[in-house]
Amino acid sequence: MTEGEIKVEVMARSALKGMSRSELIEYVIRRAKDGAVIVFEGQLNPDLLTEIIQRTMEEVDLEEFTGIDIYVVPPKRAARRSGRGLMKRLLGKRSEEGMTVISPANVLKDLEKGEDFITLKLG
Amino acid sequence: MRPRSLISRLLDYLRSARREVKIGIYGAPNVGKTTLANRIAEDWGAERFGEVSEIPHETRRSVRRRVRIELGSSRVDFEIVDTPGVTTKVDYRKFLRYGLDVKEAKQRAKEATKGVVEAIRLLKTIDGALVVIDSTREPLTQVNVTLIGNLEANEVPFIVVANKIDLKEADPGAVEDAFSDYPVVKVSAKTGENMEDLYKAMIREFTG
Repeated sequence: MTEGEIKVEVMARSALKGMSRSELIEYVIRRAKDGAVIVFEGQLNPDLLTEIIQRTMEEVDLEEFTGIDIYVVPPKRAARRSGRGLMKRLLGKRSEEGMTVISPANVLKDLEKGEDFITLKLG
Repeated sequence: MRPRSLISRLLDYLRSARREVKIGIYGAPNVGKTTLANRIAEDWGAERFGEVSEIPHETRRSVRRRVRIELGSSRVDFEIVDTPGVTTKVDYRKFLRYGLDVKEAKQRAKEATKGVVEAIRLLKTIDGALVVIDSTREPLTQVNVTLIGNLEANEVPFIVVANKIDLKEADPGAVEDAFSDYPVVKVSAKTGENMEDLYKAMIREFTG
């Protein structure tokens, strides 16, 4: 990538299924350190996200890589029903629905969630 | 000796033989974890956990204290662990705003990242958790969702603690709404408001 460019990788569910847990974690860390934004189809389970946060912290250096931002776009049904018990629906079994965005820290300036789309403002 | 008193003595023995219940205090930086830990220590005669600060990541190593909570006929020995704040990013430049020099800020950042790793590792060792949420902020952050999701997936009992209810901008109802499927207790660790409700919930949720 040249300076000022931000690469966005969109990964289908099928691509995730071809990776082991550790391969996926290392892939996320490597891409984030390279400055890329990754959009996953579906939601990553909390155990995996926790491990990604842990590995991220092990890789943070003081100048170049300060960490990541994680955004989960909830499944359509959950998004519609904001309010009581939303957390439970965010953690529901519908892990193949919704989207997960992982970006290097402070690259994603804004994220607009619609029912069928997300808009990422990068900078 | 009457049979009833023998049973009573046996129950007392079993209660006293029970190991401590290890509880982690978790949450994002600056939500009031150490203030809560210090409040618990003060209420039950234990040593303070540590200093609090407006600068994020004041707690960078976990701190443990033994605390015996006695309410009515219940008496439970806890090992309370105040853990470093969990975050997905640490940038030393943010600490400069609080008057730290570059060397201090870099040192703090380095220790903070290690603290997050330690806090996450401790998740596998606890019997229960207090997930502290700042009631003045949006409750459904990725850190809160990930922590609670992790605890639930691993069947670790937890209580959501909606903290800072003494502040006028607090909206503990939003925390309650977001986490309505889980036990939520609204407190001010700073003033001590509703702490008795938290102690009751700890005995209920962690010793069942």
